[in-house]
Amino acid sequence: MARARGASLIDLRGLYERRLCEFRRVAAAIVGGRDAAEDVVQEAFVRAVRARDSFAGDGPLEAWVWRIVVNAARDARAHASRPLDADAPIAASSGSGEERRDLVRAAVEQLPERQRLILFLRYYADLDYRSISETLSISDGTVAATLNTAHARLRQLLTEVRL
Amino acid sequence: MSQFNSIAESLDLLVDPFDNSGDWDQILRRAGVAAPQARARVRLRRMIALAAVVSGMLVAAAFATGLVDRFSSWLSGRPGTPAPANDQRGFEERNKVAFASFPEGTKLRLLLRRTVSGTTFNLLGFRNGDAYCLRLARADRPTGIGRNECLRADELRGRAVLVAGNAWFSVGDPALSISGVYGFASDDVEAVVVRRVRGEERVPVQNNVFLVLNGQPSGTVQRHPRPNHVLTVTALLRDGTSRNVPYVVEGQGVFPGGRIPSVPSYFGRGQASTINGPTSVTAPIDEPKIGWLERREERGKPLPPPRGMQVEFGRVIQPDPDNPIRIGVASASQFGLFEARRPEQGGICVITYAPLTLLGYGYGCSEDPFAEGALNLDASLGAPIVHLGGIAADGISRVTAYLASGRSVEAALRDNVFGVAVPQAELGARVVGYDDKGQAAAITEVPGNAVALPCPPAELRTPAEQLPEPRKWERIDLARMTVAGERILGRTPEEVRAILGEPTRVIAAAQRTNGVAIPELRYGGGMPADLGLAIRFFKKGDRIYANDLFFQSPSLVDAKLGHVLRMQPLQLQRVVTSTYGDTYRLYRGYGSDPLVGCTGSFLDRSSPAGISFGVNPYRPSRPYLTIRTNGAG
Repeated sequence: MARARGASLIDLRGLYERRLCEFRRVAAAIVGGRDAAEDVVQEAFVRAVRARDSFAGDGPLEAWVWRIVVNAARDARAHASRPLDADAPIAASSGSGEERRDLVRAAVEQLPERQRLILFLRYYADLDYRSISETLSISDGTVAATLNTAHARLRQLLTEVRL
Repeated sequence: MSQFNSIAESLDLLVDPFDNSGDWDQILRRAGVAAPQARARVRLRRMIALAAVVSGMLVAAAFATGLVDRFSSWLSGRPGTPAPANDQRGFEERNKVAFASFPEGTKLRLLLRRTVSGTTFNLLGFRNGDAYCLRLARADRPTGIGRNECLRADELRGRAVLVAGNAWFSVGDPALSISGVYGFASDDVEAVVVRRVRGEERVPVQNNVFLVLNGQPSGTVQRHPRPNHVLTVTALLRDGTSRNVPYVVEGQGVFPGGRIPSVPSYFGRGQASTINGPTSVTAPIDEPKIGWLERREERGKPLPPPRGMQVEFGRVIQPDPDNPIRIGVASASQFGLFEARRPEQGGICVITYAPLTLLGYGYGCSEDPFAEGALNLDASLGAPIVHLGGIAADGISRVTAYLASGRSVEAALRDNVFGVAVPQAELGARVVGYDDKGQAAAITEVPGNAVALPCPPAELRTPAEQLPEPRKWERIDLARMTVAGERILGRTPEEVRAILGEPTRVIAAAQRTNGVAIPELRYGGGMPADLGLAIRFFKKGDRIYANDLFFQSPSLVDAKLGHVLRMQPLQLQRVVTSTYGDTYRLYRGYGSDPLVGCTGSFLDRSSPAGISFGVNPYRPSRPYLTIRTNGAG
């Protein structure tokens, strides 16, 4: 049965209220700043509301919105002349924890972008393989393989720095 | 990994959880949707927090004027509908064997479909990282290379329409030539109008893209349907206004403002534009080189065996991860037909691999690619999107392209290979390589586009009555295509000399065909600027025969028209039409197509032969007339 084209404001609002933390957390991981992440998510939803009529209904609404959020975050990162909120930590510092966080950040930064995105969507948004594949327009198999590679690489990098 | 029990724990360190307090009403306001009720609470909070919010709003405003607001079909990265299985499968097959491929698992979307003369074309799109990509392919040949173009999202910012590519396909038997343009159009655009040499087409925008295609019979050696290329592109906006879309005709020149001149025109150099950026090198690099190439480090991917060069070592680099274009860099001891002058040192070859091509697309080799500086640009300039790419010596840490449009664009740079795609309409460019201190270490320039200029009038300094009596070879009869009462076209060089006498100069090997020297005979002068008649020959089988007669002698006289080169070209066009209309039909009006310049031509009504005439805009004192067989022998 063909699904109706377009997304309703009620559905979008529901997603916003239900998943705002995850949207912001993934955005923060991509852009590298908490304030910028909040702006990015607001902007992404502005775009989604404006373009709600173009939602084709050929996949879950949530995946559609995730794509918009991820793209908005990547745009923001790409257009920043320096890392957004470079001075603003995205996690609270706590002595040795800060050092550990820097090491993790350095390791994650070494991963290819696709691996990073899949990690963020898997761990910060708790999306399953199907939802990640819908969000990034790749196959489930690619998600699984990329995630495996990312795990292995991250473990290796973290081991190399004696974590 | 002792301090980290799991990946999740590690990642938890990176980003603390957020709280769940958002502002939905702000989203509705910014999206232009009325909130259910105005809320004093929100307004008050906004007033109090105004100063704090300003910086955030600036960021938001920058996004709001950005690309995706105006290209809503691409918003989610999944415009249109899923590509037909056949197209997806064909693309994957090609992608699998192509050297410059897209990431595995790339899913195409069908944006629009157009059927021309029985052949269906699909315009497909997908987002590749930060880039927006279009693929135009025949529906019946989904594994074909088609046309593929990727652009950074930034390139669409603020534009109504951007032409992404020229399309040309040959289909059917007898062959039909299908040509046109395709590209992106923002939400503001309702339709795109393309004006060609003959006629005009209007196509609707669909899924933020457009596709204009038109077919006509393909030419043969002896039949030349007049090309009907695109001259201008105009965006029709939903508010009823229109906007010219910068477009470089066949990669040759532009009509400023999209206005096609009403007078005969040619594409000549426009005024030099001011291009931003440094104009001189302040920190040149001593002995520029590519260290990893010399050390034979295995950067990038292996180089497939290239044709036409003896490669000692080479690798392929993809400078921009979002663009499938790869550039091969190789040290070679022999390239093309020549061995390097210093084989022990060899040279460096730069090979470009265009998207979905199976082999290298083009290459250039040089014994010293950095002889002019630490940047070596290998640009392909013939398409609406120009790829400025090449190699940069060690020490160059950043490459910026400054465009005549006023913009500057950062090039991707990796392992000494750089690349950036920009609209050709924005050229010229100054490509600057910076060192890690931000100093200009190398500069290379890309010429600007030619612009349409009016043809100059022929400078007819000596009136016909003051000219000397025409010589034997200055007497023609256009009705019969004869010189001195004799048919010259189709004659051998010896026969021509027997009829017209000894030429002023013989160029023994004006050209070579299959190793055979083809002569040119010149009368009335030996140099291009002063010759009166040049007879050019053609080789067909074992026979060499006169194929065209190029006159620029002021004394040239036609049996009926008199001094044909003492007339302005438009006047000549009129008298030929009125006097010889039964023999010739006008093929191309004088100066009507700036691509071919200040020229006009007639075709014989009963054979492929014809005549052309005009002025060289850089030498208007010598108007010319050519009679040719067009290969008819």
